[in-house]
Amino acid sequence: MQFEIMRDRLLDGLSDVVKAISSKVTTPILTGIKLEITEKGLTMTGSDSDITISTFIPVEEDGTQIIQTIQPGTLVLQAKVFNEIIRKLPTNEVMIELRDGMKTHIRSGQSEFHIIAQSADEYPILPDVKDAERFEMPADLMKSLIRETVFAVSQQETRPVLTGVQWIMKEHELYCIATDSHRLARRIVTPEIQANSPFNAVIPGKSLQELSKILPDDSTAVEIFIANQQVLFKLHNVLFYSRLLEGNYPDTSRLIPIEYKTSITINGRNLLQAIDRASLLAREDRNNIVHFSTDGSPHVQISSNSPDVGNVEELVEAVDIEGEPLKISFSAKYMMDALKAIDGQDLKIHFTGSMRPFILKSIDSEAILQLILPVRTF
Amino acid sequence: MSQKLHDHALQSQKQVIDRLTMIHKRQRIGHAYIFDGSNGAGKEAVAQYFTKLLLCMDPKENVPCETCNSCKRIESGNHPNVVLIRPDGQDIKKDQMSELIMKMTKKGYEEGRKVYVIVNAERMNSSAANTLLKFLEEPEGNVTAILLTNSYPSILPTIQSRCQRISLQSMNRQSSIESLVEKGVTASMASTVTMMTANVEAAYEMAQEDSFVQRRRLVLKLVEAIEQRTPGEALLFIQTDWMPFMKEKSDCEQGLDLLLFAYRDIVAVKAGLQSTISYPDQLEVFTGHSVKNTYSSLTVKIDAVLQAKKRLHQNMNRTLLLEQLVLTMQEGLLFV
Repeated sequence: MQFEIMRDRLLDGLSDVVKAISSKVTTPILTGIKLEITEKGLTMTGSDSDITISTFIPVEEDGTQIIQTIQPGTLVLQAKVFNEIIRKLPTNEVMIELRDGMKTHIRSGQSEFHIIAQSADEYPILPDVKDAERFEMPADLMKSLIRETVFAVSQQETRPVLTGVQWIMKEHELYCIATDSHRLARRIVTPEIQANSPFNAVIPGKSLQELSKILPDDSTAVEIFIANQQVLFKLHNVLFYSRLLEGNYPDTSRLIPIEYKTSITINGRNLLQAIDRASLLAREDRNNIVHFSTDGSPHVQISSNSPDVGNVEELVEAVDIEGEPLKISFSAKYMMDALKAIDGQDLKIHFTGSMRPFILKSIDSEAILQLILPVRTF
Repeated sequence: MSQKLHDHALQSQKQVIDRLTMIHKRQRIGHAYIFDGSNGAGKEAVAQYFTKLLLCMDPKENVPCETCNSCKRIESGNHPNVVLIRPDGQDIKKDQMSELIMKMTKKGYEEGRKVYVIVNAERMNSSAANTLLKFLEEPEGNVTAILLTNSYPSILPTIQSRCQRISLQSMNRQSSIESLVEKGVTASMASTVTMMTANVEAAYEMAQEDSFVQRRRLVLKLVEAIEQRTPGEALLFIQTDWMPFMKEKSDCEQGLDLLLFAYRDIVAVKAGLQSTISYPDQLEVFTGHSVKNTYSSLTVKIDAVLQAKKRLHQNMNRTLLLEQLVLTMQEGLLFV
């Protein structure tokens, strides 16, 4: 194989691919980057066996020639060495050529490197994706839906399936659900382009966080393909694959209460700040617990008591309070995470007694739902 | 393992290979296996063979093709659906196990079965073993575990009960001895090396090593020194002759094994079981020793060697270890 490429474009592509490469892998081939050159362009692939990032550089873009003199072929080069070499080459033209078996020549200006390559046959095979499982949504929506759910995944590995976010397609709506069995975050979106067949997949939380880092902040369309083993997110010239989690995700729909005894409408930002202040003292305590109560007045009282440090009380004005008076306690951290996910505006909190889970929703949409289990203190 | 040793291991485990072939033919593949067999029996070779069989793209008559992409990548350790872990230092730690389980609870990178191999499974520490236990109990998806061990009883009974046991045969010792003699190894040397390892190739290499021949000679001298019952001489022997040739821990372990086999012979001679002896050339000398020793004094001595082997693994100072060993073996005589 042989080709000539513009160095700056190669570096752009490499910068995404190296994000997937980890120094801790046990499979020796995954310390390398796979390069595949065809008449259409160059594909580079890097992986840590959980996630895989692939970038494509076309032969020609907007009338400029990026790659020239192509002889198709594939090879695998040590990621660290290759990246450093390309970064430090003297000119913008890079010539890569595979000669005499596995010896790779990298030439730029007067400098020439000879690198030992590995055979691309050793590289893991990426799954085939079918258009049937394809759907599409804008990158910024995807980014926010990751932000609104992924914080709630379990950090403990005792139930591995809970370390992921469930993506399930029901009646043309995509439900994204994350729970660590103390709280739950659910986001519903309606993708612009629907998948033909329904699916139910659990995507590891860590992979989604990595994905979020490479997603742009605009409305570029992201194509999503769910295959048997892996999920593929495709944006422009970057492909992001992640392995799915094995096992059945628990049925969470029954956890969400439908009838409420107390419903409160309140400004989210004010409540967030009040809880943050109350947790200053609660944090000293092991559980970080704050108390929340209503007594028929148009205020809710937030308080916290830490015997060694002191106590705090604050009244927050509610927009509307319906139903029975209520006393309840919960983890300040969970509440703050949930309020941050709903972001700012007025929101509704529905309670079903002080021992039952309660839910937070945005006032004007059903799309985001946060559920928290209270703590027994009263 | 060199290719030659590898092939040899597979040939010598024909029965096990046949059994694995049957398992594959009936497509009744279990979720966990323990392969147990002595050192040199070819456990890793058999595990690799089985992994290839499970993942081969085109197995012919339940034999992996060895030429497809899967087989080749298993050979080079690059198959993404196969994970192999070995003890990190002294034992297999909990972190290694959690990492393994996190990998195994994700769906395979490629379609098909996932396989994990735990080498020296008896060296899992207790928290690692308990972490694994939970995963072994209820594996998610298409997973097969292969645990390799040379000491089946040291594996937690709760793990044993969740795995199918496949015992690798030790080579028939008599036939190994014969094949070594054919290659030009002396009969007495052949008897000794086949006690050390079950693999004929490895045994042959050992018999060719000068340092091993030297060590065998030293051990026989040590037996003499111990049996003469003059405490000073045996201690002196340790200082002047033994230590210079047993610099490394592995050398020392080999030495202790040889010593153990010598006393095993003496007991065997005393009991009249001459067919299994490891030092046939010493038969007369050993007969002499067996007359002088009672069964209980021999037990004390063998116990002392086993103790010393254990302490060697705890990194005790080796000179002190051997001096203590010699003294216990001789004092044992005075008290019984």
